[in-house]
Amino acid sequence: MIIDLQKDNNLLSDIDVIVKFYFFMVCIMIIIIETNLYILLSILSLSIILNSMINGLNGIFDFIKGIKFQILLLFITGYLISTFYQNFDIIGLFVKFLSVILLSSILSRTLNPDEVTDALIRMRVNPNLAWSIGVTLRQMIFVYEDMMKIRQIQKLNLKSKSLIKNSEYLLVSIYANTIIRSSHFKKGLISRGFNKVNTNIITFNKKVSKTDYLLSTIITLTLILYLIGR
Amino acid sequence: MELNDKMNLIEIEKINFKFNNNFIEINIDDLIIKKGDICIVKGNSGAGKSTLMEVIFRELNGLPQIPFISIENLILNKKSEVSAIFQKSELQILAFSVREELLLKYAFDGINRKERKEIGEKIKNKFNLEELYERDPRKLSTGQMKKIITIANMGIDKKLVLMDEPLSYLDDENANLMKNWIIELSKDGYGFLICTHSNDFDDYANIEIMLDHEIPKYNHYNSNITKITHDISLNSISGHFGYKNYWKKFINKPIKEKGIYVIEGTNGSGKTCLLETLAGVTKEIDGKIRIKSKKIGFLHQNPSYVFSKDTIKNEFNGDDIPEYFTQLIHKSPFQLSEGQQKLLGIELILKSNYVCLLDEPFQNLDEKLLNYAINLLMAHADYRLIFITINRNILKNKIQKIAENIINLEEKN
Repeated sequence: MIIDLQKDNNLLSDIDVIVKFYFFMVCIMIIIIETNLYILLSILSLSIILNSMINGLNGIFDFIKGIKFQILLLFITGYLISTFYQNFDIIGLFVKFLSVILLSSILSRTLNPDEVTDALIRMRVNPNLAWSIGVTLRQMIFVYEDMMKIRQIQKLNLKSKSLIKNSEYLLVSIYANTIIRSSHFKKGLISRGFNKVNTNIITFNKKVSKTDYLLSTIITLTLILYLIGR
Repeated sequence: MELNDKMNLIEIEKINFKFNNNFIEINIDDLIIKKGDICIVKGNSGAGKSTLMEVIFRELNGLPQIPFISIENLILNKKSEVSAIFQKSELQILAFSVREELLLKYAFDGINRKERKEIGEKIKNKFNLEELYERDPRKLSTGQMKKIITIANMGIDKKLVLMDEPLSYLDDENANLMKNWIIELSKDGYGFLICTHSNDFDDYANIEIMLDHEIPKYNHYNSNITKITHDISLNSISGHFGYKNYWKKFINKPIKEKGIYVIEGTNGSGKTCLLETLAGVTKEIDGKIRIKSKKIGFLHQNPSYVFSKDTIKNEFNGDDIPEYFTQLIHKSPFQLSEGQQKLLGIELILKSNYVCLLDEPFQNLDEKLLNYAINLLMAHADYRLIFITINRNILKNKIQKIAENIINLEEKN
């Protein structure tokens, strides 16, 4: 019932957060501007390989199973649009969608809010803003985990497996528990003497390694070559 | 510590408030907590201990007061910094690694990284945290989280610390460690206001506040126990359980169709994980541990996960309401005290399930409620298959009469 944010023993967890951000941004940029299906498929393949390094192939299937509704919705929307615009590339859209989802999943699975805060501070973002972003991510994760726990427990206790039938009860519980959690979080901050954040808020921050520099260079060169190629 | 060092940490002239939907009224006059004092607030579950602590904490930190109480007088002077460790302390987690969690307070205090790392090493060695230091606090057991949060809140400045049931969810070893540390800190100049119904601090407290209120009659549980036919076909649980790629533990235990099974072990020994596996919430690693039943109910350590209605009356869905809750029927279950929430959770799970998985159901129950809960479970033992987890020997002694079967999970932390 806990989102595993950082699995040990995989290469991606050792890469600096800023490099991961950079890689993500470059991929997203290419996905947005690119129309060539082969290039899009190669990005999709890359994201599948990276994801399988974190979760294994079964993890990817589970993940795709989890977003089957969104995929179905995308196909219906794409089909409707393609009836009006004949040049509309539904396969390209599907590949783009899947790539973005899988790439985001790499980010969300390999870094935790503490690391994001640290990375943002190193990127010269105001420490208070960086801390706020970290806190927001933290709360999102906690609330999501609470939702999952409540759903699983209520599913057992309520007997009816229908999510729609149970949604009213689930919502009461989720709503109340979210308020309780947020209130405790605030009190937790005050209790630790939270006033303002200084630049070294994260004690054990990561140091940039040679691999990170090498990866950044490779990403930059690939981007330059790609742009020249276009 | 010299006598002239006994500076006031808080001066309470008057606190006077009452609950909106209830008959409980709290009055405190002329309370001064000095450096080195341990003030304990005692009372039954639902007497207002936690609310009193919350009111003081909110007032001292300029937060808006709790909506469901009416405050008549609230005059107090803050003389030092205040930290608070609430009952649901696991909700006070701020960081994603134990080391960051422990050092965040020092970061807020402006201490530089190098010094913080040294402090971290000292804390790690003092509290035997080698195993936990690099871990994600969300993956710890509730007892381990409680320990971490308590340590993380202390800091180096002498101040007032408000604690709500500081030893709940801790096993004997950790409870002793925590108790001795609190006493040591009080000698060092910290002041404590501890809300508890246990007697752990009785010998060390120099101020005692008793919140007395006559709670509803509840000596007799509802004798109309619903008989539920069972649909389980498993006669033993055997295999590895745990969190995949993280840790696993082997269990092999025959189980009967009905009766009470007590799962005991230290903090982090896997009690909750075993219950989750029995419920099918967590998958077994191999073997057969999950109990398949259409009538299975799970009481989480945080009982508010079980509640799904706006009032206690609606939670019982038209069924007979147990005597204890008859005067509280219009109250929201989320507004009850921790002990009352536990009891309500037990009642709700027992009401309609054959297999009842109760995670630490006796934590935070006062003496009377504990006896009531034990009687309740005993009454259901002939008609239900019940699994409960416990972590302290004090509780074990009390529930020995109902524990026909004990599943002992060897120590991990």
